[in-house]
Amino acid sequence: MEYRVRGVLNQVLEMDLDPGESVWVQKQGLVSYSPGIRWTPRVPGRVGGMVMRFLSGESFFLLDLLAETGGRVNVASLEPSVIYAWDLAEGPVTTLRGNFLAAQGDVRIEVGVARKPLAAFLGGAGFLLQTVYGTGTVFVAVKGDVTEYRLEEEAAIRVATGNLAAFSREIDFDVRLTGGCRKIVFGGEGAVMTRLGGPGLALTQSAKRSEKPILKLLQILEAFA
Amino acid sequence: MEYEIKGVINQTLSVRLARDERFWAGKGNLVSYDETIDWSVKPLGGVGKAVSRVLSGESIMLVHCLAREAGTINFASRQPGRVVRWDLQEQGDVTALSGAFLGAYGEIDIRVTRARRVGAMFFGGAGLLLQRISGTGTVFLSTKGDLVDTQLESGETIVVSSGNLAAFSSECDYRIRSVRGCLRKITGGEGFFMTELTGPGRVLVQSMKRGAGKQER
Repeated sequence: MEYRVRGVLNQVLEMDLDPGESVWVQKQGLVSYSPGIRWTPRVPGRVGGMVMRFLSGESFFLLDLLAETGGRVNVASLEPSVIYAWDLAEGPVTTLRGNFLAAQGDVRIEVGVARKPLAAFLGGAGFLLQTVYGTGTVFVAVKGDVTEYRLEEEAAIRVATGNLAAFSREIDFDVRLTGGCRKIVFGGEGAVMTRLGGPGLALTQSAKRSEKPILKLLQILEAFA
Repeated sequence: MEYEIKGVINQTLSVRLARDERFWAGKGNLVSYDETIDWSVKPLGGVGKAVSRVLSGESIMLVHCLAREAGTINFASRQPGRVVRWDLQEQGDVTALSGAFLGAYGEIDIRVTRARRVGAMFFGGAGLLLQRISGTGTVFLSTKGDLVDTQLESGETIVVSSGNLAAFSSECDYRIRSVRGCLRKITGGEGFFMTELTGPGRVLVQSMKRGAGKQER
């Protein structure tokens, strides 16, 4: 596969597929393709993972594209985004809700419980997170512009709710209180900040993820379940 | 007429008209203009054309700008996107989907044609509203999001998802194809119809879907 990322405003990922190659694409991500490409909605992962996938707020189905005779496909996010190509040689990547765009190679896409579920939930990520393992490339749709953090051992950053797009699975994901009462109430940044500890790679987005109230509710129910 | 396309996020078309020059624009695209410009709302090509346009559900009126003295007008579409120039003389007639027409200069004629499959109009395919623009002038089109500008060779085919098609050469052969299979229709999130275009011709594909909100679950 060869790929190019084009545009400035809502970037387009253009992939040239060889015969027999297949790619996972986010639902509603297809823009255009050559007739030699077939797509099928499919639920990734094992049967046991399906329930978690359903509860996670990720789209239940992904599109499984197969290039029967080879061809070109264009893929884009629904909201203004830049596309970051994450080489899985960097390690497995956890993408947050709405940030997965496509994955190519020998990959396994799974939804699992975050290592610190309560922290992940309070940090706004939800405690069920989608992680891509294997070898190949994962294309992350980062809303707005992207900042790439390569964290050393012992290094850490704080990220506001909704601004985290993706991070290495090995990263230590935790939350901290924003500060005192006054900061929480008048700061406008919510009660908690996500703390990411190295080593690992993290991507933050300049536009905050918009939360659907219904999903929020679902998460609260999950927390009690 | 001189023109300039400015900006990156929601591009602006800046048109400089000499005295007595005219420019047609789609409704709701006017941003700012010099006081030497007069504009009025009128149908293109007289009353008969207007009736055919209203029957097809498209707005019958266009904004007609006339320069009393030389002056500049700025146009932009309502959504983040890019502006593309289409020269009717060099590139042939263009068929624009609803919302893609930004403005035009020179001799043009707009005919509204119906999509070839009636079912497609209900399920968000290419839509019913196809505007066939012919003549010898220059047309300016706006796309939503980034632009994939594809030049199809003779016999080459591209399949475009619902809402991602902005405009194409009228000489392209287009077909609206339903997405096969019930499961694929419902769970694929790509709508019920795809548009298949066969060259030769130029196809403008936009990266953001028309009418799309947030990512579905």
